[in-house]
Amino acid sequence: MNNPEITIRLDDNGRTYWPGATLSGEYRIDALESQKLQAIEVSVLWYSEGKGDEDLGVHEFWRKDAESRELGDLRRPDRFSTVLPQSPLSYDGQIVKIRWCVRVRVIFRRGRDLVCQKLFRLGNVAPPKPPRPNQPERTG
Amino acid sequence: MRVQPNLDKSNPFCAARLRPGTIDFVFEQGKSLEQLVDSLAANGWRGQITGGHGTGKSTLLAALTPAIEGRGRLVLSITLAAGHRHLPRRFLRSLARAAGLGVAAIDGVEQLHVWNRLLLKRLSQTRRVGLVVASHRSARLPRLYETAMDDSRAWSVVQRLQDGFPPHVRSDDLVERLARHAGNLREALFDLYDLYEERSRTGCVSPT
Amino acid sequence: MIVERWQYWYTLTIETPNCLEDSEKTLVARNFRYYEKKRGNRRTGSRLFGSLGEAIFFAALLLAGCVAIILGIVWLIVPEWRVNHGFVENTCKVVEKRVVEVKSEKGVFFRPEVKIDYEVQGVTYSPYVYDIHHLTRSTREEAQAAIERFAEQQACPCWYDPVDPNSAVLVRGYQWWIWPALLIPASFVVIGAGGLVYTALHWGKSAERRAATVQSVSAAELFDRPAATDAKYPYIPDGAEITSSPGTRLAYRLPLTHSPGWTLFGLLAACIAWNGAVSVFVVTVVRCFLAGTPDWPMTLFVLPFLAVGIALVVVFARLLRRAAGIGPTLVEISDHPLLPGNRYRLFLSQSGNLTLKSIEVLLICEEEAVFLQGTNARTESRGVFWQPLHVGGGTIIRPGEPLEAECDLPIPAEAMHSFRARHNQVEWKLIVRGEIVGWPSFQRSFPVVVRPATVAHAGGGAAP
Repeated sequence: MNNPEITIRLDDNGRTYWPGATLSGEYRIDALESQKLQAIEVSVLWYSEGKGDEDLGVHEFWRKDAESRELGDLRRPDRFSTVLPQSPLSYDGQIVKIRWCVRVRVIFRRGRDLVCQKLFRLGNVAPPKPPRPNQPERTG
Repeated sequence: MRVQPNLDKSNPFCAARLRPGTIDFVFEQGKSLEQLVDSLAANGWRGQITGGHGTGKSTLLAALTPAIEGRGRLVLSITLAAGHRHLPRRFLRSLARAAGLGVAAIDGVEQLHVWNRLLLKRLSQTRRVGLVVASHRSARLPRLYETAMDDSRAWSVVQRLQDGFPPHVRSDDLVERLARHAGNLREALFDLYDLYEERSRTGCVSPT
Repeated sequence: MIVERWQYWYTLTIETPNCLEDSEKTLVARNFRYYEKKRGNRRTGSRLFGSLGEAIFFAALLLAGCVAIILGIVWLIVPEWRVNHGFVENTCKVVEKRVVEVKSEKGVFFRPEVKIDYEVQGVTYSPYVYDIHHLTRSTREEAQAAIERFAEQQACPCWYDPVDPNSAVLVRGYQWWIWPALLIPASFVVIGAGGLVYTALHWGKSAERRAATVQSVSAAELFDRPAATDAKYPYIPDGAEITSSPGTRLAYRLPLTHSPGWTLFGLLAACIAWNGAVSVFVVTVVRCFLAGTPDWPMTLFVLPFLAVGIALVVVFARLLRRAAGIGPTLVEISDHPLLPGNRYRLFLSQSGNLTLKSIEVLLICEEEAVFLQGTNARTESRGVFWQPLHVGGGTIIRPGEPLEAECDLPIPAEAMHSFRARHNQVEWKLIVRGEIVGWPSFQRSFPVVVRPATVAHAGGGAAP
């Protein structure tokens, strides 16, 4: 039996979005045995990366349980849509980075969850330039 | 949760990827996880992992946990930070309820007050609960593993971290930083974060 | 066997606007570590009992302090006040002078007494009196000296209690040592009350909620960094403490991150409290030396405390002199919050009494990340943007004649906005740095908030 695979596609094929814009797309799960499935969760979230512990903020969250028969035909793509917030914008800093993504998690009755995420960019913030030689790295 | 590495200008040495349980522990020659679990079982599921700062104690303990569970034991984990002088009551109650089957995995056991350590040992003995600890100094349990870092194993860790990323960090970069931090791989990896960041931004490509 | 465990999904449920139900949390949490606490400074054990214990401890301190202050007032201050304001002046005749030996566990002490005769409403009273507290002296000579000025069979003024005419005194005034002695119970009251307030604010709250409360409480303090966020701009400080402070030349005056005023005040309070308490013991020690019976154990005990007290005074004096020499730094801006791509005006005023070699204003952006390193938490900061706005110097600043300057404050078009989360933040601030002749250089920091630029879009999704 093939392992299940999750595919996420964003509309407009875009990777950069603006605050207040609508992010929409669809996800599809292939090779999934529905009897083993417990729930599917879709979230639009940001998380931090860098030298600090991770921070995470969920902007939108949907969950479909197998028991409530919300899952429908898993072979067909399911759509999602949300209006993106004003902040925080995607940022590629030196020790702090902010990433936005759509994350799909498949929860099975037994065994490990299956997770897939697709990154997108919110806003157009430029990465900081490397510090100049005489520029101190930090202030008091 | 293991998510595929984000290749969109991520840094393989970011804090999330260095967390114990996220990177695999690299054993020295002739040692393996299964051997450790066998040794632990032979000692009645009691043992200690000791070693210097940043040598992988927490990582090894994190790797042991699923292996112990694979032997049918119930593992109750806790990581103690500086200033945690006693264990939470809920944790102790869970230990008591796991009599005969449970194994307590405690990272940072040296933080506990001496009588709390004695209480923990006493509880584990009377309730027949296993006890595996990671500590900077001996906790007077059967010696399970003494962590230490050498250049080749450290480089193996770095290679695994850089797997799927542009290889901006070279082995001599690691050796220099490991020597600077007296074998503390964690500190060396934090330094490598900055180096990787600098090289990826300036477009410096590391020769293989 | 798989055990249900909790880890970072708990963080997820805090942040999501559509919070998961408890049953969903149970289903969702899979394959994560149980009872893993990765942060320092989290409380362990029962929060309820911990809070209760704290409350009892601080309540006990508060009670002890209040009782001691009340007793001090009732036994020491009130009687003196009554003597100075309530006792009636009369004329008495000194009949006899004596020094009474008083033996106690601490040793032998000497109390001066004078027998006087005076008449109140036709009734003659002849008590042994001196002061209202019947204080003793450590030596007979001291006690004798206290009553030396009263000549037998001579008249002198006295003051009697109109409620009990048999109670009278020959000397009035206030004992100076009572007031610093009351600082000790006062400190108990402050610590106890402060601790009770803290405990009440954090009763039963989790570490995350307490951390969030600390952020919002600190935002209400003067001269502190912004913490509250605007609902329209999540994870961006709202800068309310800036927009609530109007300027005189430009729209807003920026607060300092750390005002020297508060540091000086804190240090002054510490000086007074510490030296007040220590002075009581110092006086006792000095008296013993003067009396020729030095108390060496007490002297050795007091010396380190005295050294600390002197050091506090020296540090305070230096800081005060520096603060007086380097006067307040005022920075005002024409608008707030700031938006990328915009240009603003900045006004600087530096007062004091100093010769300025150079002064510069810089706009900087710093990233800050907190991470767990082994069993400790570590904070790392990195400057990612640095722009000088104004450079000047070679000026003498006199009192009442501050150095003033205005300049532009451009925000780069693609600048990252201010950002604050639990472990990571991006902070913008204006730095004023000065090099002074004869003094170490100074640096003062003024936080500002940069919001994302508002971009109009026609309802679409991706950017072109």
